[in-house]
Amino acid sequence: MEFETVRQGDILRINVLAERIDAACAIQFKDRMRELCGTEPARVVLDLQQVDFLDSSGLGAVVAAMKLLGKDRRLELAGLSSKVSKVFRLTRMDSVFTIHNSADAAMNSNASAA
Amino acid sequence: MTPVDVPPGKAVGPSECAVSDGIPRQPTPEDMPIKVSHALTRVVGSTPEDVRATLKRVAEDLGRLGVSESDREAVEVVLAECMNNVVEHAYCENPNGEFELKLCLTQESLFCRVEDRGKPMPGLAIPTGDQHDLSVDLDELPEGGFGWFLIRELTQDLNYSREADRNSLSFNISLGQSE
Repeated sequence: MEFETVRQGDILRINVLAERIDAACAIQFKDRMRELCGTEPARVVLDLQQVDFLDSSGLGAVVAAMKLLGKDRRLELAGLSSKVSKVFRLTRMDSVFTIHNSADAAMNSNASAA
Repeated sequence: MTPVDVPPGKAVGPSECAVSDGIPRQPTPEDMPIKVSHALTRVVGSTPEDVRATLKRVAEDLGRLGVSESDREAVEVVLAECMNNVVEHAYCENPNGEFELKLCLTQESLFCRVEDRGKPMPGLAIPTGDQHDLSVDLDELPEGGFGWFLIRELTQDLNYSREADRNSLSFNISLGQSE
């Protein structure tokens, strides 16, 4: 599972270069997120623009990644496809995450939303 | 004669869909306002990779048959959860199992049946799949248990039966009802 990371100021942007976050790769996703997020910075933006599909295992892995960051850091999501969006909306998980239309929008948004 | 473009041996005729042994008695074609227009069966290995490949193929097939993108999204979400459950719970992640996915497409709905020979569902019942309480502390947020909730949200006529060594889960997904 491939990722691309960009550090910009106090934001870490993680671009998921996979079409799917599903049962076949959920554990790998969680492990890689732990490595990539490290211990800082406070804001992590997960760019899902290239992710076409996410199942409940994938959703669980994204939630797990947010929990790994702890209370003093934040995982924000960006670039959700309509399919991915549907899963977040139906499970009401869209109320738990800050979700941006695009990673660029996320990078430009003020952290005061916290 | 079926217009579905699927590999030899994987497709079944519409009659299989309408009168197959385990399926609840259905009216004869003359009584039905909508005829079964397409049917297909896929044999799926019990690994997450097999599930992934099957989902892609089914989405392609349904796209060719004119099912809208929004409907295909719902179908993919539901079938992913059902098949993942079979791999994870019925076969306990043993990769040597096999199960069948049967689909019957009409203009108004997609009838689906998933049949496996794995372990029965606990209590021989479909899990309730309740909505999680999300107004909890970060470290108490659920990381699983969304699957049955999604299936119940997106399907109708959900039914489970266990006969001999076989699990059978069936349901309908309404088409053209997009949000």
